Amino acid sequence: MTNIKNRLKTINLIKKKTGNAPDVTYKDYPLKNKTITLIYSNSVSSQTDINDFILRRLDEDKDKIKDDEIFNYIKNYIPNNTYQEITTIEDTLYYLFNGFTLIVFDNNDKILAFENKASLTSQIQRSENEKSLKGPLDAFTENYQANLGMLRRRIKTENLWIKELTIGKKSKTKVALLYLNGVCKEELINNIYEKVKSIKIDYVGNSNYIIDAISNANRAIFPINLSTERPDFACQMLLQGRVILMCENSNEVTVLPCTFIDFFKSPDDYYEKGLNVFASRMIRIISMLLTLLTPAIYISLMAYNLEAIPSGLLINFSTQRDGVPFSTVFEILVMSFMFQVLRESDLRFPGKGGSSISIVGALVLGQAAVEAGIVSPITIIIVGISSVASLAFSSIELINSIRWWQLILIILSSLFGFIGVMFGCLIMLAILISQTSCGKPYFAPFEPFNKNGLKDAILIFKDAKLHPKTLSTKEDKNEEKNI
Amino acid sequence: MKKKIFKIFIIIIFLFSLSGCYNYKEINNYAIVSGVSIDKNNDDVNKYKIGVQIMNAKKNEEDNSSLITFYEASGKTIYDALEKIILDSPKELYLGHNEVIVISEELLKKENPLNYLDYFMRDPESAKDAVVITSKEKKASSILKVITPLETIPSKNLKATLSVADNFSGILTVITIDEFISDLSNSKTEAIIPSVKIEGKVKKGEMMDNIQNSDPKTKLTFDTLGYFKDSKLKGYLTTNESVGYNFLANFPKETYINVKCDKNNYATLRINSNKFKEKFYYEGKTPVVNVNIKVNADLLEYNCKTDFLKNKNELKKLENKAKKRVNKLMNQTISKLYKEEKTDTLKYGEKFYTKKYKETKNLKYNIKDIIEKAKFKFNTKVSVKSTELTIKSVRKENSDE
Repeated sequence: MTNIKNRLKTINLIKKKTGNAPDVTYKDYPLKNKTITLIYSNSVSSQTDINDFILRRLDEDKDKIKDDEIFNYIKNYIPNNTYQEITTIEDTLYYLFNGFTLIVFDNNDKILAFENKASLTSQIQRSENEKSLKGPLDAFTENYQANLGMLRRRIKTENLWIKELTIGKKSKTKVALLYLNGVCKEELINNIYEKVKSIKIDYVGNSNYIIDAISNANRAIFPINLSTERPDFACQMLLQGRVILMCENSNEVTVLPCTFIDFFKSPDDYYEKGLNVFASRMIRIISMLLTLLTPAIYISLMAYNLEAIPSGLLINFSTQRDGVPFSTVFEILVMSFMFQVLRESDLRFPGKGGSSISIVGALVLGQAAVEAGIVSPITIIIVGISSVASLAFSSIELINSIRWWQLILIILSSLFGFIGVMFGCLIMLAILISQTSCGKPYFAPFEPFNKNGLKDAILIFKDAKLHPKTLSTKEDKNEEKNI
Repeated sequence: MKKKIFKIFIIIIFLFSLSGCYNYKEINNYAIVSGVSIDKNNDDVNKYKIGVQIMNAKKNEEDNSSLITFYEASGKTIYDALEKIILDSPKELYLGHNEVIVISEELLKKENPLNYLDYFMRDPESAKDAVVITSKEKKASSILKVITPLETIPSKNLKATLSVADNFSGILTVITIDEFISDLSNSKTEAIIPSVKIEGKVKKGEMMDNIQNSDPKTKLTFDTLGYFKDSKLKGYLTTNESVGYNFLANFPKETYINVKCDKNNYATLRINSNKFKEKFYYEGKTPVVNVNIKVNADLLEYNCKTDFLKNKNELKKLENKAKKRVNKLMNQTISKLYKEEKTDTLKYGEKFYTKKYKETKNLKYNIKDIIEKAKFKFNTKVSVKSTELTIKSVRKENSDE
């Protein structure tokens, strides 16, 4: 047990344990001939409460207190219904990040803790972009302290360390790197910290500015940063040894490094049975393949490999295509483009006008176009399948990048048939595998293959939920033992 | 940078040369052929008359007109005739989904089919799993002109009926074009071919009115198997012989046999599965073919009076009768094909060559010798596995009827 009798030593110890956390305040308060120190966390405790109920009270009663009765007096007369007498440094840290104000005395083996939790919930709203079916509903807000508090509230260990920087010559935006000390690789956090520190930029709008500044050109088109607005997802990622990059005035945090399979995960996955999650993850993966491949395969079937279509279907296709003046490729390109236009206008149109757009779109593009003989019904079905499948993800970055690859594959298939599609897929896979995110392979845990990592990839094993640490690579594990 | 451009250049060259992008053709530019008929033409130069049935002729199924179109032309070769058809048709012919090839009886009896079938094996686009049928008594082209009920495309109707007959009644055998050609081109074996007949008048069958009646006046019906000798169609098996042929060739997945259970009434057994084993050996100088068949059957229909729970011997009797029946069917086939016609459609000669090569070589037998001297032994075992829903017959055991 650590001795907490010496006030200054205790303070230093707490500073050391918390990695000199910037959101912890140490306030010395002289009382008669002695000094007491108030320690509290800015992010989780309410500062007005501390001012009103502790500091003002002490100020008013300053003269009444006798030198040798300070401890008992504070214990008895500070108006607070929840107080604790703490004797160990571990408890101290726990209460500190739980929203308590700690009062440390000289030469006393007890520390007093009063609860002053900040009411963070009042400003917090529901997550809108990432819908929650089963998990908690709160989402990050634009308030930096509240965001920190939301994470602290979930992970109360002192090992949640924060590195804070100010980025932006003009904007002076606070940027925080959060990580779990002991779980996250030190190399990784130092690497990211150095990179972020060296950024020379005028304005930081949100975390994407920083990602763009620190990453090299992304050949894969696929996003290499995973942003989330759900604190529970951020916590799951922290426990796996990731770094969370948090920006002031941004309601999203960014997970670094991220892998490709992370885009198929949802925080709700961890609140459900593993087997059911397996099904929904498979559906997400299949939807991505559907989005990418359906138009391309359709074109290569229709234009090059008629023999692969069952003959019953072939007659239908052929009679439907009869009288359509355009080629299959042109039809597909036009219909896909029109769908993208619909989606964009639906997203950007202010207020409640969205529904009228979709009605007009469905009528004009669907029924009327077929009846007018401009496109064949099967084309509408193909474009419909690929478009609906593309909406199975919450990450807009992923959808947008898939859109590019879809186009590339359509062009390849119209020129080269199935061989073109295969070629395009191979190139995409090669680029995906060679991509890295903050030095970590993007296609992990499939390539490089990592058996432990697989436990969280497609089917969630109980292990992965209970001991997320084990998901990191083998080398990481050895280092953990050394710490 | 130069290296990169070079790489991309190489990739593009590979893509163009591998993928064959000259092939780009929209689906609606094709006339999809569902059946091909081959007839003899009386002209000495243009020896063959080729007909094609095209299945994507009409847009609407509800339309009161025929779904198919038939084109015919004559030529020196099959491709020659097909090229002439293209002059009539606004679309290019596509044989990738060809379902049947009907060859007229007349042509098969006069000429070795290998004289003209080469195109179907050589052309990469034509379907290799098209079914070969011969038209009995009528011209091959008239078979493809008949409009059939149930399946709207007549060729599909033919193929479907044939495979149902093959799988569930065991009377016919599906022979695809590649099997047919390989059987013919192998000098040691002979081919068989299912035959189809037209019931009623051909002219009436070409009209859409034909299928508007509940009982179509003109119908396509399958007949029995035809067998080849010296690469020419020799004759046809009877129905019983066809069933026996299928037993010996181990073709039927499901079939049935009728057995007399008392003086006037019959029982029907459905055969679900059979275990089949052939053995080839020499007894002294005589080649012996030993066929072991183990058959599982269900009692499907039983029109005699018995309670199977009381008389367990009845089932045994039935099994014995069924066994005799199967043996008889096979014997009929053998005596027809091997004793009478001496044609090796079951490929026993070839099997002796491959399995007992040394002995055959020592005895200096050729295929004809083997066929002539061969002895056949059949070991059949029939076991009735179930009597289905009831163990009694509907007729009372002690009634006088």
